[in-house]
Amino acid sequence: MIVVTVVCGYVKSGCMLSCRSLYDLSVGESDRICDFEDEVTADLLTSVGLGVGKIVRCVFKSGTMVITTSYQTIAICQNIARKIYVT
Amino acid sequence: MQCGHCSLGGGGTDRKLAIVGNPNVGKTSIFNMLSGRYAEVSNYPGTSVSIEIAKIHLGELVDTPGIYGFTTGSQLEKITKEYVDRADVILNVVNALTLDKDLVLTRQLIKVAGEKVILVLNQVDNAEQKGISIDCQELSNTLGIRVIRAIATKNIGKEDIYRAIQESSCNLCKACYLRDDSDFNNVNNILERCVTMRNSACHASISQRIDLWLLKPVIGWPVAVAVLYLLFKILGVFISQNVVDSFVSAIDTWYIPFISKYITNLLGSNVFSDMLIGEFGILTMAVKIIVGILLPLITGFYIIMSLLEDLGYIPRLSVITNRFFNAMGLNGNAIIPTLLGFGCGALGTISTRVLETRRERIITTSLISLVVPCAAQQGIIVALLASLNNGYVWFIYIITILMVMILSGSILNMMFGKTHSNFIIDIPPFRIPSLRNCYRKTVYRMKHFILDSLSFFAISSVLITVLHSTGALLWLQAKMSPVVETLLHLPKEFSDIFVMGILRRDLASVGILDMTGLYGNESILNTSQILTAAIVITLFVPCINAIVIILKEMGWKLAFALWGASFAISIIVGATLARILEIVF
Ligand SMILES: Nc1nc2c(ncn2[C@@H]2O[C@H](COP(=O)(O)OP(=O)(O)OP(=O)(O)O)[C@@H](O)[C@H]2O)c(=O)[nH]1
Ligand SMILES: [Mg+2]
Repeated sequence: MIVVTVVCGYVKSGCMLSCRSLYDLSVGESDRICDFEDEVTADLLTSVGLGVGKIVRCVFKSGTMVITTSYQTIAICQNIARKIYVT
Repeated sequence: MQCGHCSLGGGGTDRKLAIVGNPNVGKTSIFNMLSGRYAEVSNYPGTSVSIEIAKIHLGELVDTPGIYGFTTGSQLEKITKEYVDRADVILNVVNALTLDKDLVLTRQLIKVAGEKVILVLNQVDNAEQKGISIDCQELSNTLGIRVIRAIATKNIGKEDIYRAIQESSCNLCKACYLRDDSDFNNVNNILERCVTMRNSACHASISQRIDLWLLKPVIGWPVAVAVLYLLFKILGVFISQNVVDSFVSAIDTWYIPFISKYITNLLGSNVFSDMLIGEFGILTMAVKIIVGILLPLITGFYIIMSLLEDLGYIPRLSVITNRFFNAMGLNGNAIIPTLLGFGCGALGTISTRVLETRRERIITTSLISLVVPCAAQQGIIVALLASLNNGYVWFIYIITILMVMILSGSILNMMFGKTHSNFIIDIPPFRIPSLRNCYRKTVYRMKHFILDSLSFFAISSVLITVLHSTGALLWLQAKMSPVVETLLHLPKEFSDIFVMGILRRDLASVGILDMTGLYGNESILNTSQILTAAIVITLFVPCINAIVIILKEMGWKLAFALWGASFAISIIVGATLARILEIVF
């Protein structure tokens, strides 16, 4: 459990060890959102269309991260991107 | 969807009909379609920051600012919540292309307002283009509310929405909409049941492919600079040197002699005729300034801004400027009020409502008040600097303003305790600007500008005439001489500019233009004085109407502090620059 907390920063998801933060995606890579660090982040991101299960693709990353989903382009700061987990 | 029970309409004309939805889904477009009025429509989230009300035959229609939910307690959420609570009917506008996102708010609305909610499925044209079709009947059954398809930009869906509003007060109709609760709590389930996609493989759209390049700073910044350069070329070269010239000479040759003769014949020569046709006359000088100089310049500015807004370029700009604003404790979202501030400081201040925290609002408002010249002022400053035909002048002006901006932003950031400002923006797709919307928006903004500036000119004209005839202007000039002549190294006539600048900075800028002899008079300023004057007036105190808005939005303490700070900063920077420029030029 301790290892999971260190790696992921949260302990409630099923994706556990396999997850990484959205900010770890490299440019051009796609992945599926599996969880959020906390509920506030979850609410905020779901309301802009980044819910659990959404496949996102990293377009650009340098402090600000730009991701695309099927019909949206969203820019988020590194701080928030690190609170989103993909698997 | 038609229901026979209530085809004659229920309720009354005093019903409150609120248009609510996520940002940039087309709420204002629906408002304009239903009311026949015009409120500003642009392709970026956060265009509407206050409510817009129109009386229609079914009741009072209210357009609200876009929100994602009711959780953050932001200023915009508070405004919208107030109208949601009071509404008899809620028209929840959603974008058919991004239903998964927009239905999050829909579910929250249904929870608080039940069958008062009518879902307006807007931008169906875009969805169909992408091969998405939505089963409205199924969606209606799943959510337990009426669902209407609409394409606001083509006036499609208007009658259906009217009918749905009428039916919403019919109890028999309400019974038709029983919700299927098993799916209601899961947006993905709702979408699975109601949405079909023709092409399952989702290729990147053209817009996304352009973004791939435009959002990278190495390309984004040069493009932004090129856009600015184009703006200055159009305003500073084409409009100020050709259009304004011909307008001013037409007014000087035809209009002023005619109106002067007419008023003199009518009133004779007295204080009143002096106010109307004297040196600062409302019918002579005001018309020359507002119609001859300001109108062409700011029409040009508003047309270009309008095209950029409709294209969807502004959210892209917010992404590439995010890091720049981070240095001042803000994020890229601050570009929206800042750009609007380039139109009008008061407007920029109101639109700081799109920012999440009070801290961000205060810093952005301060920056707008301190360093952002409004459209009219910019036009004049561009004309002033262009007339000098010297590339260094531009460089010095831009660098000075940028330095003041970064320095004051960083100081404010430290004053309010450095924190990280979270940035998230849903970037809308590029759209081909609609010429009709650009035309309507420009006319709408110009109308406001003319009414506003005419009344301020009338006040300043009366004030200056009174000061002039009572000898107070000479007294004021003498009192201001240490500041104007000793500190700023400018001629004593510049005191009049200060008096005008307290009311409106753009009118004061015209005063400087007059002193340079660009439109007829003899020049009393040299190159370094013109540049000093341009910078002093850019940094000078906010116009009265901007101060009133700051007072309303942020309280008197900030309004007072900003007024004092901008006065002091403009003098300090002006005095320093005057000394440096005398060595350079
Ligand atoms: N293709 C298409 N575009 C639309 C439609 N409705 C609105 N738009 C465009 O969508 C953009 C946003 O429209 P607005 O009416 O300003 O949206 P809003 O929801 O009021 O936006 P905020 O005030 O920022 O929350 C504009 O560029 C409109 O031209 C539609 O039915 N079809
Ligand atoms: Mg709007």
